[in-house]
Amino acid sequence: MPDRLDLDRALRSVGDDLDRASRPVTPAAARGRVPVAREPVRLRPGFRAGLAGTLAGLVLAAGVVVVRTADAGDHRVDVGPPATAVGEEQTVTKSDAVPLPETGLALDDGQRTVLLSFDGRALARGQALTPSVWRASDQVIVRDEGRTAVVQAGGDRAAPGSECDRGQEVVGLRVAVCGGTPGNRQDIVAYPHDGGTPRTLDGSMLEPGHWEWAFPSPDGGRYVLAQWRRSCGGAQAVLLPADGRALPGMANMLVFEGTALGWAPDGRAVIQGVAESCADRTDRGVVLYDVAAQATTQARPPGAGTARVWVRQG
Amino acid sequence: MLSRGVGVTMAVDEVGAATRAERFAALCRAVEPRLRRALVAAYGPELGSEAVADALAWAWENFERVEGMANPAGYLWRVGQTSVRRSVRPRRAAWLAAGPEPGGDHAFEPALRAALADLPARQRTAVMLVHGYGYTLAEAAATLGCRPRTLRNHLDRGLGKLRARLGVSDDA
Repeated sequence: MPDRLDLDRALRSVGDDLDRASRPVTPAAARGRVPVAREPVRLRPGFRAGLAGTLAGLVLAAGVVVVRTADAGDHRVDVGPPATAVGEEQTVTKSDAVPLPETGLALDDGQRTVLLSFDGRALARGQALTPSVWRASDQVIVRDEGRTAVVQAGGDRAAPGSECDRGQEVVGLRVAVCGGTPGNRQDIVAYPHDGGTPRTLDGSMLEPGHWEWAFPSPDGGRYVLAQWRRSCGGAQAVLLPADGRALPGMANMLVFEGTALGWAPDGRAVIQGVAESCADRTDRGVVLYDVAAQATTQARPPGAGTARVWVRQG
Repeated sequence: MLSRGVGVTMAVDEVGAATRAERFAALCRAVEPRLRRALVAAYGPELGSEAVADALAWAWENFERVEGMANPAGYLWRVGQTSVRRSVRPRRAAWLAAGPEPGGDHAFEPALRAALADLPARQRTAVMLVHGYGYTLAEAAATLGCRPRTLRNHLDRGLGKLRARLGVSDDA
């Protein structure tokens, strides 16, 4: 009698057959084709509302409470342990009682704080934190308390080296800014979790300045997104390969004019674009940078205020 | 864009200035193979390939929208389905039951194609993506724009029917 492995082999053989019989579509062919496809058919509004009402009635009649778990999508990956929350607390009011996802984007325009999901939904709002809280923190810690949430600055993580601080880790890699003096760190050191040799990431080609913080990418730390502060004050977000190899596109680092905020759960780097010379400042909003595709997506338009990635604690 | 040594310095808005065609090509590289495999498993090599071409042509025309989607592959799978359903009403997968294409390697039992052809398209697509092509549950679910749990249900039902019909034992 054939077993499961026989069936798997046979299915792979069918897959090979179908691959051979199908025709790959090149980008050029797609661009030159007159599409006959249309958007997926949408249900009539009344149908959707009626269906929702019927289902809601059934649920209520059964006395069942359904709690929908909000997550960051099916591609959620480990974004590392949150920092210790420190300093001033600010309570914000959630849009609903649905649990917060594990991470998202926090905006503060000096008047109010808004917590967003990475797909742009406003999840909670409240009064602004004091600007010094935002400036001092590379990340915001959020504690979900049902209808409200408590926002605090993320404190420093325990650093693996005596001359290091701002440690961050994901599964596979821990990074910290090291060397020099506190407030003037010159190196980023990547510490592999498998006990491999720590690697100092090369930032020597940057303009004079210092490192402020660094985040390993959530794919096990293939890349590091770090914050470089130029001597005259302008911030630069620097994307480096953690293993010393080249980035896709053959550059060994990318330098964005702006602030390094961290990583979205889908593995895109989160950067607030701010062109900041010693004399002026131009806000370009928050963008997500896909390292593999070498493409950016605008996540928030200019004018959002100061942005940070928030991480849910607990 | 300024280059210094082997590093690259650019403003955020300059990164975004990669041409539309380049960004579309990157999207195609990312989604075309699994989208094609999914649509071919559902509708056969002929209709499936046409559906992929239609979906990607639609993506090019609406690229700004598609580019901003969290899961473009899942959306384009539905665009491809719509394309097929506008042209024909798929019934039993006769293309599959009709037998292998000449010249292929068919060292599997002949009843498998017929059994696959009798599966509903969603179950057949789930079985082929996961067991025929080796995608993970998460990857297959993203391709079909559904949750992994839903994909798992289609997969379990499809595999169960195949095993029952082909007399496959549970022993590995």
